[in-house]
Amino acid sequence: MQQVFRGPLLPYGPLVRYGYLVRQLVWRDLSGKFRRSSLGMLWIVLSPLMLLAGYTLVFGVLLQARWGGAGSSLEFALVLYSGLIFYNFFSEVVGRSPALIHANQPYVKKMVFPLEVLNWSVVLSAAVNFLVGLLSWMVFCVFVKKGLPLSVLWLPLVFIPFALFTLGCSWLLSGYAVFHPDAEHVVPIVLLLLMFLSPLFFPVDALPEHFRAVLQFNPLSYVLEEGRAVLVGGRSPDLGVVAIGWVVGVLMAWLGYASFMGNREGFSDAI
Amino acid sequence: MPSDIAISVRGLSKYYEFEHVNEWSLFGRRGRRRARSGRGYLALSDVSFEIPRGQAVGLIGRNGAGKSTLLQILTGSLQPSEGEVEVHGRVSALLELGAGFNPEFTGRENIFLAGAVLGMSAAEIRSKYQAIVDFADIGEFIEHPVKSYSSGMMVRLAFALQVHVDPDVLIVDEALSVGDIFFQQKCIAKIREILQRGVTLLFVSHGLNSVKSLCSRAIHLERGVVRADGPAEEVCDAYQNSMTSSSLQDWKLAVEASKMAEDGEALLPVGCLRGADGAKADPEFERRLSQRSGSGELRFTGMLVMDERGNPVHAIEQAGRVRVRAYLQAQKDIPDGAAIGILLRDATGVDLMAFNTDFYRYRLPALEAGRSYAWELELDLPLARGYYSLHCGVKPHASSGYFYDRCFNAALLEVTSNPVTWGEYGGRIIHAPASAGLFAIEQEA
Repeated sequence: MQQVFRGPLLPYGPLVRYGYLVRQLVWRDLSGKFRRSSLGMLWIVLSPLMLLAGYTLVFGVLLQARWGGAGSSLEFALVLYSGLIFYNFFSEVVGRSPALIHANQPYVKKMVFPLEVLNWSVVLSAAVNFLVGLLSWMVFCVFVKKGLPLSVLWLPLVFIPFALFTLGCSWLLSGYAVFHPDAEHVVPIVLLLLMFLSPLFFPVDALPEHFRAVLQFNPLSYVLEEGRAVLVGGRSPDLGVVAIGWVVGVLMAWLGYASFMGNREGFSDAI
Repeated sequence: MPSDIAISVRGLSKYYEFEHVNEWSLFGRRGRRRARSGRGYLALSDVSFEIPRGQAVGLIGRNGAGKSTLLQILTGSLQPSEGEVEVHGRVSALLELGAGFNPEFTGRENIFLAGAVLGMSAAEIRSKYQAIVDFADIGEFIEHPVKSYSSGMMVRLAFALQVHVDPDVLIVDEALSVGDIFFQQKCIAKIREILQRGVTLLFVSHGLNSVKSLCSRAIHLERGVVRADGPAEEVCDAYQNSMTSSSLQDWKLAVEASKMAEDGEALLPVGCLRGADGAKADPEFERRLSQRSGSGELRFTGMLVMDERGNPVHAIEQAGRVRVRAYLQAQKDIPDGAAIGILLRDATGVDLMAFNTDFYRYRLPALEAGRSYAWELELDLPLARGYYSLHCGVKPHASSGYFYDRCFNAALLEVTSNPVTWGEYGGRIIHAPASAGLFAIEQEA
């Protein structure tokens, strides 16, 4: 019985036990990526800004797109970008997961190492990128709308369960891909499909009925809708959806963790 | 389990499948062990031992004996197929030096990163940082990316880090074989110091001298089985001897204890031939030779081919075992020893086989001027019917081109076969021991 109560908490154990290790790995991740470039860590801020500039140019200036047919084209870029930071977070983590264990082979075969922290470090470093993206979005928002809606404060309530859900997917995938390396080639395509089958470039209401039904099955839809509600909509999120989000997020993290740890003993044989 | 046991291994086996088997299931196998497919091999078979806290144990054995598999299981990175493993306390495993390093980072950054990977806390690394840097002794390179290091420097940094982890159990695999001799000595001294604090050591090395000097006990693995387990001296000496006799089994000369030379090469043991046997040599030898060359410090004086019981023969049955004995005399002192070998040719002049002490990393010991020696080799000749010639040569150890003496057609040998058993052609050139069977194939329903 005790097991049942402790179970959902298990995924957070590594964070407590190996806190310093996780910090080091996140730092390795973030600074290692830009180590060879001359601008270094500045890229963490620069790349979302350039992305934002690119979207503004294409959708705002060239296509003259309007969100739901209203507002200015700069606003379109603002709305689009608010959704993109969520999608990018998910796609960064999930995209890296299949190759994660393979890329860290020495940790599997050559030392005593808690592999489950690798997923935590991927999620946390993506979260840093998310935060930087969010900050640059906020600056952009202040510039376009001359202010920030107070509802932004709701954001952690929306983002945290989403991050837990993503973490669970990451554990599930990285464990699975050790035994089925082909997943590495399938995942990018699925990610692309998820992007087009989510209300990223358009609001849900703007879609025909049958398309809307499809979006219901994409977990990203809910996150994007609620995330946009608090960021651009200035509304509080639908608390029912958020509550379900929390339940799903916590369960997914638990499921992913249990799956990863259950299969972990076979890793070094399979790699 | 008593608390004074650091490592306990009971009935451990590890079976590797040749083919990749998909084993993923949603919640894993949870300790259920899969049946063996039969297409794989047993890397470890029923290995059991216990290591008390504070003991230093050497693990020796040839390549493929299962040493690395055993270490991987002890560190928990590999799961056993059968049996139980318990390791108590914090383990620091030097299975691969520098495995936790990121080449783009500086030495300093890598100490913090790899230190965390090895399980140290931030405070712990900070307090030991200076000691690690001092031990690694790589100067200002500590502030440069690891990718700019020489392999020696990387090893020094990695080793420095890993001995400062303060483990309860230290596992060292071959790590010391890299790095120069001074650094090796420094490492050995450091390991000794760690041992004095009551740390348990499991040390894998091909350098038997370092095993003997560091460890009180040694375990000899052979093809996944514990062949010997006991005092390090004894086990290492027995292992050394088994290495010698596995390539020259049934060496029939009386053998003094073989000694390991400083450079790691085995010296050929010297026996003693007494009486008529040793003096007789071979009167026909000189006339038989078709060609001879060499500087003459050592000279062959005869060559005998004998059957298994030691009777000189001119012909043997197909697939027989022979003893080949070469007599030689030293005209001068040969203090550094020599390499000696034979070559076997068939009647058409094709070289069939060569045996050379250099191949097996032996050499003859120092030879004294004026003395006669006999070198004997026993071997199975997997030859079919025909005529064969033996040639011999002796040269300085590990030289090429320079010979003391080289004799062609030193001995002739006829291999016969019973025409009733083997038919007219016998086995052509080689006689390969073989067995065969016939199996009826069932059609599947």
